[in-house]
Amino acid sequence: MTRYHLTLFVSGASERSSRAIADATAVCHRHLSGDYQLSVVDVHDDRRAAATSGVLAVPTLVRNRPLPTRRITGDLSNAEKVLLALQLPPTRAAPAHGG
Amino acid sequence: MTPRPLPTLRTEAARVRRHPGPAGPDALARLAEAEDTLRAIGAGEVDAFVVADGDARRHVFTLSTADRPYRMFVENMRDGAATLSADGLILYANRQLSELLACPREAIVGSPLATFVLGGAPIDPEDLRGRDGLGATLEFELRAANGRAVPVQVGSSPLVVDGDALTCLTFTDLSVHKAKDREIARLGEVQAERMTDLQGAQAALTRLATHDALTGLPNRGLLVDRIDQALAHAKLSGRCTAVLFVDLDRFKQVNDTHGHAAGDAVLRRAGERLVAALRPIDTVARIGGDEFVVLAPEVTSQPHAVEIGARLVDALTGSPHSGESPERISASVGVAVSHGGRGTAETLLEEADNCMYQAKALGGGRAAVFDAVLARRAKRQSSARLMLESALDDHRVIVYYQPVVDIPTGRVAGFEALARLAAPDGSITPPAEFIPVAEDSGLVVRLGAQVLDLACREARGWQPPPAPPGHRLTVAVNLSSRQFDAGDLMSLVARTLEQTGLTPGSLHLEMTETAIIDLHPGLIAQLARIRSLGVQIGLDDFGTGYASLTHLRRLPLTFVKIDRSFVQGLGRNDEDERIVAAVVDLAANLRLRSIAEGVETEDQLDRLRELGCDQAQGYLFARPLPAGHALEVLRSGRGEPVDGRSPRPAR
Repeated sequence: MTRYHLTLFVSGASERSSRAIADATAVCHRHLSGDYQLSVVDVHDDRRAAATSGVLAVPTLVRNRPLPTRRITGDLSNAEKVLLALQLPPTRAAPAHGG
Repeated sequence: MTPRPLPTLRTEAARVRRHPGPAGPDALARLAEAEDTLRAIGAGEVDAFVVADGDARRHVFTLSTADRPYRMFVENMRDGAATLSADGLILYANRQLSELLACPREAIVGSPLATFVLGGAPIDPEDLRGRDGLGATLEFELRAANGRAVPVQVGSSPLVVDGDALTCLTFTDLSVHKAKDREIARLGEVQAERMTDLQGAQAALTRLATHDALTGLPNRGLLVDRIDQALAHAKLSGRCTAVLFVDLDRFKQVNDTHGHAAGDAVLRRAGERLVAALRPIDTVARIGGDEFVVLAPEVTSQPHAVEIGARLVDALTGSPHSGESPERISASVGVAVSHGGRGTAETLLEEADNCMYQAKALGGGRAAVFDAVLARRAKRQSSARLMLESALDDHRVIVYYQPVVDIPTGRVAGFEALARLAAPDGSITPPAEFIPVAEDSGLVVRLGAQVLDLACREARGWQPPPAPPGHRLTVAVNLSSRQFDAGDLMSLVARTLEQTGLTPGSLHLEMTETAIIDLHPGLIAQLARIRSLGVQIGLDDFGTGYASLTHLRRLPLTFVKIDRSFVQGLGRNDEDERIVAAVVDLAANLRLRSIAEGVETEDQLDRLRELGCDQAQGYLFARPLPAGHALEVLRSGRGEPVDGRSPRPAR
């Protein structure tokens, strides 16, 4: 059972979206040691998903599981800030071969 | 939109942090997220908005960092759009404006707007900025390149970008407007929604921070803002401002008995009823658990405010609706009035809160107004509670006993146990000073258990005077309805009897009619089980409450006590006499013992004897006395009247 379920909501293929996807992927990869599932949702395609997740503005990264849900909106480049906002475990280095 | 969404949100954040509400840490986390979202919007870290609700009326063009969706929106919208420089030149035109004017965009941009207005009349930039600089709506005719006149409605929004005063214009084609109405491009629609989302998002965030999620009513933060505003106005107008603190009576019982969903439904319903009972200028806020506050910013006088309070009590009191919990809801309302804007939101809330407690202490279901006397009394209340708590902790509860006399024989049949508190200095606190507080605070459950234990323990040690076989002294202990609700009363009684060794038949339990007004099967079963132990059960203050024949038949009763108010009318008031006679008859027919309370004169005793009443108690025989003195009464023999001015009067 995957421990962390996250959803990144972005808006189309904007520059900001690309950056958010890159940032979110990097944070998960480095700090969640493979035990996560990250989905990317374009709010243009699925506005309902965004609304039900309580997302008001994008990019927003949502921690769906474990409950309760936590969100962070805006710039995701600061990994520490993202981990803190989503109450994810303290920084843990990935295995060396993880590249 | 509220005029100050950001400060309100921050102020509220600070407040929630200081006083985390019932929603607890999750509310804090949501609030932190909301704050961070606002910060991200402000810092230009977002590029689209998702929520589309709220009542956005005007377009917003202020978020330069989120301009891409806006540009798409403007390009694709069904209206023409243009940006004008301060001197009236068209800096930008959208596709629709180009179509309206039947003119390529290159020919439009850079030209004065006047070029395209029919008749060449220059448009006064001041007209476009509007009188207060907030924009305007105008109607005129455009002249298209093909010569056609196009009537348009023009909306203008002045704004300043990098120090340049610009005006954004939208042109609605009045001639084809209706026909085109349904041909909105899908993208345009999506973008239009997104357009309103800035305001929608802010409105949603503000609402989250300023309103109670359960009832949708304003929360404490918004309420305090509004009270402050009302007081500021009142300082100028000299009018009165009323703050009414509303607390539902017995709400905790609803929650405990029927679950939180039922409790929530009651709260929502209460909010609706309050709103319906008030004027549109009044504010109803929910500030916690079952606490609501009403702000009536314009009242004519204190009596007017009290009248509103009474109206609120009426609105909340009443039968539950179908689908609601079967509990009857009533409310206590505290009224505080400021004259000419005196005081602050905090002092008014505190005063109203104190009054509410006063209303509650008076039995609930009423409104009480603030005055100095009341403030002192409220203070006494809270000190009374502390006193009671420490007395319970230190086991300083003692029991006084009032003899109950067999009328035909004149013999003491037993005693009624009455709670008193012994202060550390040895003085005795009368019941009027702690029983209401005990009932109101629920401490009566602990108090009742201690009294039961003491009374059984002391009664166990009584040596009855020489008496016919089977004659046992009884001890009557009062029960509060709170004790029924608090848990397994039957176990408490059984355990106490076992620990103290008192014969169950010697224990009488008394409850008031009001305690059993809600005659539910669980209560009847509890009483039946207690009765099956051999304990006798009776109704106190009979005739004053709501007990009906049904109650008398369905409860496992063995005695009724006739209320003192009727007994004292004996020989003076025919109606009271008829009531006493009827109760005695009724009791006899139902094979219940009748006991008259508050017997003070020989005449009353004679009448009771003639009517066939079984037993009596009152000052004629003895006041409630400490255990030792009570036993003296017993030894002095057969319940002969003792001196009413006993050495340690109880009341």
